[in-house]
Amino acid sequence: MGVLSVLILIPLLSAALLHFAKNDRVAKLFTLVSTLVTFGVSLVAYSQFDAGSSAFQLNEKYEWITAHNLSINYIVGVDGMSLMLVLLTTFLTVIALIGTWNSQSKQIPNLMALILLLQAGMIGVFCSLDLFLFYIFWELILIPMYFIIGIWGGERKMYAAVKFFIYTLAGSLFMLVAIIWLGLEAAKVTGVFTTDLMKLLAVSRSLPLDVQNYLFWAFALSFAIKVPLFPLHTWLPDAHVEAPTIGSVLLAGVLLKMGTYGLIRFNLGLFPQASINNASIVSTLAVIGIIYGALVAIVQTDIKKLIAYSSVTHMGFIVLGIFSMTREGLQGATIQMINHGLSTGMLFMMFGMMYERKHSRQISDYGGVAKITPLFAIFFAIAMLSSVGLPGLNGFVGEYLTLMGAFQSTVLHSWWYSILSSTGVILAAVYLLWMYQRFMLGPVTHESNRSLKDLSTREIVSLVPLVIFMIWIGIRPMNFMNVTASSLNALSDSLTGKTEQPKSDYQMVAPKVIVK
Amino acid sequence: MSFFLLDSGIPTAELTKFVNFSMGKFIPELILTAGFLFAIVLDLLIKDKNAKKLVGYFAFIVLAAAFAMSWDQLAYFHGEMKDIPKWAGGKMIFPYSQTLPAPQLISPSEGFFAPFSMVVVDNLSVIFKMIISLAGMFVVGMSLLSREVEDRGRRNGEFFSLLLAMTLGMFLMPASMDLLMMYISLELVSITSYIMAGFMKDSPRSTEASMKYVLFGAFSSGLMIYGFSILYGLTGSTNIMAIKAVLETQFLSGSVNTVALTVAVILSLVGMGYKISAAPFHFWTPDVYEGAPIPVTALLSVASKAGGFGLLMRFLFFAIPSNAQTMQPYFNWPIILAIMSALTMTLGNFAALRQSNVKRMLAYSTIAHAGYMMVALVSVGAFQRLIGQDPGSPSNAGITAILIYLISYLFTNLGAFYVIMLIANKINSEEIEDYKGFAKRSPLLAVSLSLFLVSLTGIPLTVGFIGKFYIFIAILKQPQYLWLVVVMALNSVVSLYYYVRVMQSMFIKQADAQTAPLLGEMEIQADGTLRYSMMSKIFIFVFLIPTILFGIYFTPLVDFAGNAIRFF
Repeated sequence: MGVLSVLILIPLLSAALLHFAKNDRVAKLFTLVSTLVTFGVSLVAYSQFDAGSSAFQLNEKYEWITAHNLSINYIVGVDGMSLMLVLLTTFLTVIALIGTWNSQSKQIPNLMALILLLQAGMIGVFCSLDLFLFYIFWELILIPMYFIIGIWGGERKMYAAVKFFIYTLAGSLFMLVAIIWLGLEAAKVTGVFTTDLMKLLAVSRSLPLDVQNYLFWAFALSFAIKVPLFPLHTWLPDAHVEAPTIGSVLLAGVLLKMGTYGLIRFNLGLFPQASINNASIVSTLAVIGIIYGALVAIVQTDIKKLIAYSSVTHMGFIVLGIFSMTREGLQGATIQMINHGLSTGMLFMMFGMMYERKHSRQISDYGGVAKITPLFAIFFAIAMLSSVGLPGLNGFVGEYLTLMGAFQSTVLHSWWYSILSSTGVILAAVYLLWMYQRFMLGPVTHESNRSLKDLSTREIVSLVPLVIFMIWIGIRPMNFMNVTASSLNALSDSLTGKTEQPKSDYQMVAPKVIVK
Repeated sequence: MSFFLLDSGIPTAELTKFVNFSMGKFIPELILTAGFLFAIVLDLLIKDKNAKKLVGYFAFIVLAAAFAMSWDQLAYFHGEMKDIPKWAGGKMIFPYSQTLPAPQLISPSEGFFAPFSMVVVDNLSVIFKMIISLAGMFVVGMSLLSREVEDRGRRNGEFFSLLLAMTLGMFLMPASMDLLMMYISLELVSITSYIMAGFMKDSPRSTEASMKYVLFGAFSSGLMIYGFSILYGLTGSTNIMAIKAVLETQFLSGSVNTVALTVAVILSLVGMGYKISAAPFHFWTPDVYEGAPIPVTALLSVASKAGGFGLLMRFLFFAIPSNAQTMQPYFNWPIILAIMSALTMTLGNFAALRQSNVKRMLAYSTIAHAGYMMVALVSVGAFQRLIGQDPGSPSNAGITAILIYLISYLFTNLGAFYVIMLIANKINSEEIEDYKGFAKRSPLLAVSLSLFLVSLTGIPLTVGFIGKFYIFIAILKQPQYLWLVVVMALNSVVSLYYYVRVMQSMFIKQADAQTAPLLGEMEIQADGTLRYSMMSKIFIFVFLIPTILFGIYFTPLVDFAGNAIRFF
C-alpha cells in the first residue's frame, strides 16, 4: 500500500476507532494524534515527490469493480498541484483542531469522527485519478459537513445545513451524469466502460465540440457551486455563518478549493477546447463575483458573513487565474488557493476565538478591542493584511500573479478582466480595514468587553504556524511554486498551444523508490 | 393440463415425460401452494393465541424453500441447458424464439406451446422470484417483531397464510405468458393485499386503507381486462407470444388498427401502473401505505412492486413487436412510459416534501422510486431485441439496471420500514415531529435509518447509489431521452430534502414536551437508550450490511442481475 492510501485510511480508521472513545478528552487527544500522524505522512509523500516532473506520481492502482464490460479501479496519484492541496488539508486540520480545542462541549467524539471523515474525503478528492472514486469522495464530504453544521451550528443551522447539502448535491448529480456519459463514450471506443482519468483524457478531446460543451458545463456547474462562483454563491454565507468555527475553517480553507481544483483538473484537463471557448463566460462571472462579493462584504454587520463574502471575492480571483490559462494565472491560482486557505482559515479561526469569549458576531458589539487584547489584535491584523494582499505577505503573491495572468491571457483577449478585478483588491482593503477599525481600534465602546481575555498559549501555538507560512510564501513564494510549476506549466502550455500534448496527461510514472 | 394434451395426438409416454418435466420446473410455486394450504390447517390446529407465531416460522421456512428452489433454477439455466429435452424446443419449457416464424408458435407440433403457454421459467422470472421470496422472508421476520401484528395474535395465522398466497401470486406475475394468467396472478396479489392492508380491522385507518385499495384495485383491474379484451379482439389470442406474432404480421402488412392498439395498450398499462403505483394511477398508495400495518406496507412497496414490474416487462417486451432493422418497437410505448415516469417521480417527490408522517412520506417516496425504475424500462424499450446481445447493449443494460435497482431497493426500503416499525413499537407514532432527539434514545436505530435514507437518496457508498448509477448508464445510452436524465437528476435533489428532514429530526432537534412519550418507562435502559431485543437489533444488520457492502463492492450484484439477460 502506498503513501496516498495510507493518508486516506488513517482518518477513516481513526474515525471508526473513535466509536470506542467515551471520554471527550481522550477523543480529542486521539484525533489530534491521528491528524498529526496524517500530516507527518503527507510530509513523507512530499519528500518522495519529484517536483521536476509534471507526471502523476506516487500512483497506486487496485482493481475494484470488473463486471461485464465495466471497469472501475481504485487509482490515486498526485501532481504538484494536488500535493500542495493535500498538504494544505492535513496541515489545516491539525491547526483547526488545536485552535478550536475548547470551543465545543457537546458530543465531542461524534464531532471528531465527522472531522476525520471529512479529512479523509478531502484528501481522497485531491488524490483520485478515477472519476468514479473522485465522485465518491466528493459526495462523502457532504454528510459529515451536513452534520457538523447541523448539530454544532448557530441558530439557523438547519436551514444552512440543508441548503449546503442540496446545493452541492444538485451540482454533483449533473457531474455524475457527465462522468457516466464520458464512461460510455470510452466504451464506444474501447468496448469497456471506464472512469479512469488517463483513459478518459484521450476520449474526451475527440468528442464533438457541442458534446464537449455540455459536459464542460455539467462539470463546471458542480465545481462552480462548490467554489462558489457568482450566481451560485448564496449557500456560502449561510453555511459559514452558522457552521461552528472548525467547520468554517475547513469549509473556507479546504472545501472551496475542491471546486477550483476540479476546474483545473477536470474542466481544463478533459475539455480544453470547450474551456477556451467558455473562458470568457466563466471569467466574467468570476469578475462579477469579485466585485459583487466585495461590495456586499462592505455593508455586512456580521463579521463571519463579512469574511464569507470576502471568500467569494478571493475565490473569484482564483477562477479568473484558472481561466486565463496562462502559466502565471494557473500558478497564481494555485498559490492563491493555499493563501486563501491560510488567511481566511485564520480569520475564521481567530474570530471563532473571539466569539467564544463574547458570543456575538456583530461588529457593533465590539470596538477598541485592541486595547484589551493586544496579542489578538496583532495576529488578527496579520491575517487581515494577508487577506487584503499586502506585499510581503502571501496574499499579494497570489493576487498579483492571477491578475498578471489574466492581463497577458491570449484566451481572454481583454485587459478589462484584470482592470475590473483589481478594483476587488482595493475594495478588499476597504471592507477589511474598515472592519478592523470598527472591531479593534478606537475607544472601548462596551464596558463589558473589558473582561475579554487575550490569546492563550494554546491559541498562539495554533496561530504561529499559519503566520510563519504567510510570511514564508510572501517572501519566498518560489519554494512553494516550484512544487506546482512543472505540472501547471505543462497544462498551460497545452492549452495555449505551446506544446501539442501536455506531458502530465498521458504519462503515469511508477512510484518513486527512495534508495537510501 | 393433460386434458388439453390428450387432444393433441401426442404419445402418452412422451406426455408423461413432458408433464413430469414441466412440474419439475414449477416446484417453487408448488411449494408455496402447499405451504399456503398447510398454513391454514396449522392455524386451525393451534389453539393458543401466543403459539400462533408458529405459523409465521412455518411461512418463513416455506418462503426460504421457495427461494432455494428458485435459486436452483437459476443454477439450472447456468449449467445444464443441454438437459432440456429436444421436444421442449431445446429452450426452456415453452419454446419461443424470435427466429421462429409466427404461425408455428401456436402449433402443437412445435413443442406443446399452445396448451402450456401460461407461465414461463426463464432467468428473468427466476430472478424476480428470488427477489420476491427474499422480500417475503424479510417481511415475515419483520412481522414476527411487529407490535401491530403481535397485538392481534389470534389472527396471526391468517396473516401469514395470506402472505404465502400473495407471494404465490407475485411469483406468477413476472412469469405469465398469457393475458389470462397475467390477470389471475395480478388479482391473486390484489385480493390478498386488500385483506392484509385491512389486517388491523379495529383501526379505522387500516380499514379505510383496505376499502380505498379495493375500490382503486377493482377499477383499474377492470380497465386492464378491458384492454386485454381489445387486444384479444385484435389478435385472436391471449398468449402474448402469439399476440406479438400476429401484431408483427399486421404491422408488416400495414393492416394494424393503431387506434384500437393504442387504447388496448394504455388500458392494460392502467392495471400494471396501478400495481407499481405509477402516476396517474398512484392515488391509492399514500392512504394504503399509511393505513396498513408496517410489514404489509413494506411488502407492498417492495415485493408487490417488483411483481408489477415483472409483469409490465413481460407485457411490453413480449407482446409488442419491434422492427428488426431499426430496433425500435412498432408501437412507441417507450415514450408513453417516459412521460409516465417523469410524472411519477415528480409527483411522488413533490408530494413527499409536505408530509409530516414518515410512513406516508415513504409511501410517496416509493412512488418516486417507481418513476426511477420506469426510466430503466424506457431505456430497454427503445431497443427491443433481447436474444444474443452482449450485456452492454442498451436493452440489456436497461434490464440489468432495473434488476440492480430492485435489489438495492429491496434492502434499503425494507430496512427503512423495519426501523420505522421498531420505532413505532416504542413510541406508537410515525410523525416526523415525534422522532425529535431519537438519536439519543437509540443511536443504532437513528444511524441505520439515516443510512437507509441516504441510500434511498442515492448517495455513494450505499447500494442506492449503485442502482441510480446503473439507471443513468442505461438511459444515457439513449440520447433521445436526455431530458429524462435531467428530470431524474433534479428529482433526486428534491428527494434529499425530505429524507434529510427525518435525519434532522432525529439528530439535530431535541425532544420536547410535544414529542410522543414512550409506551412504557420500563423500556429505558441504564444509559438512557431504549431497550430492543437482541433479535430485532441483529435483524437491522440483515438490511444494513448489504446496503453498505453492495454500495462499496457491487460486482456480485451486477453479475447476479446480469444472469437475467443470459438465455433470455
